[in-house]
Amino acid sequence: MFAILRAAIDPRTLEIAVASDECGAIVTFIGMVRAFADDGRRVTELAYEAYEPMAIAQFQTIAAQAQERFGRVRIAIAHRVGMLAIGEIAVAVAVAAAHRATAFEACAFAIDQLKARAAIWKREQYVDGAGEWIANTCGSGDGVDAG
Amino acid sequence: MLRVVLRSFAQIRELVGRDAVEVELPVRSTIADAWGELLVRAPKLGGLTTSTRVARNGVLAAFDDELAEGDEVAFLPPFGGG
Repeated sequence: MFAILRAAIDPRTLEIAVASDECGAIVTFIGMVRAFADDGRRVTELAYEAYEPMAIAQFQTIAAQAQERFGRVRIAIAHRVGMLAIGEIAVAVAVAAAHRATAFEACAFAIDQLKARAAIWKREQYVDGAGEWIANTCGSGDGVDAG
Repeated sequence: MLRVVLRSFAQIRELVGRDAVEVELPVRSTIADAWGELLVRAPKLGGLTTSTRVARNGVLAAFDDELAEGDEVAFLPPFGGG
């Protein structure tokens, strides 16, 4: 399951999508909307937008690369777009593998890659009415090309 | 002439004023020429040129890539997903 969603993300849906008889572990990363920016400013909401066909193709590529690196893993990725309130889920990545160590590693790899390379943008809206597009400070940390 | 669709996102879309613009360009025009079309409409985009990446038909491309009839070119500011 690779999706850009306008409605709320249900992580359980992703977990069900990746579950299989061969997998003894599922690790799910959930990215939530925080009430504070990195510089401490109070955030009221976030706006996300995506270049949807490109983002979904990138999710598929990330999953294929995870399989090359980690072997048998099953991956689902969903990212929300539109206006999100504090506490809502912006992104979920579920990874199923035979054992937990592989599932943890592959899940970290997938979210790092998503942040570095997926065609998705985030605008923070602040309590004083100002707003700003926020770029990820990439660095997946493993030398994989962000392209 | 070539007809191409220019897609823009986030801060680029805000400066252009819309998310898709159809333009006609001479044959053998490049993605840089298409970006030039947007610069005419929104000169403030000039400050974003160095941080902008481009995609042609959904695949990352280079500013000096040539365009073909019906291409969709996307101008991508630094990513912020997750």
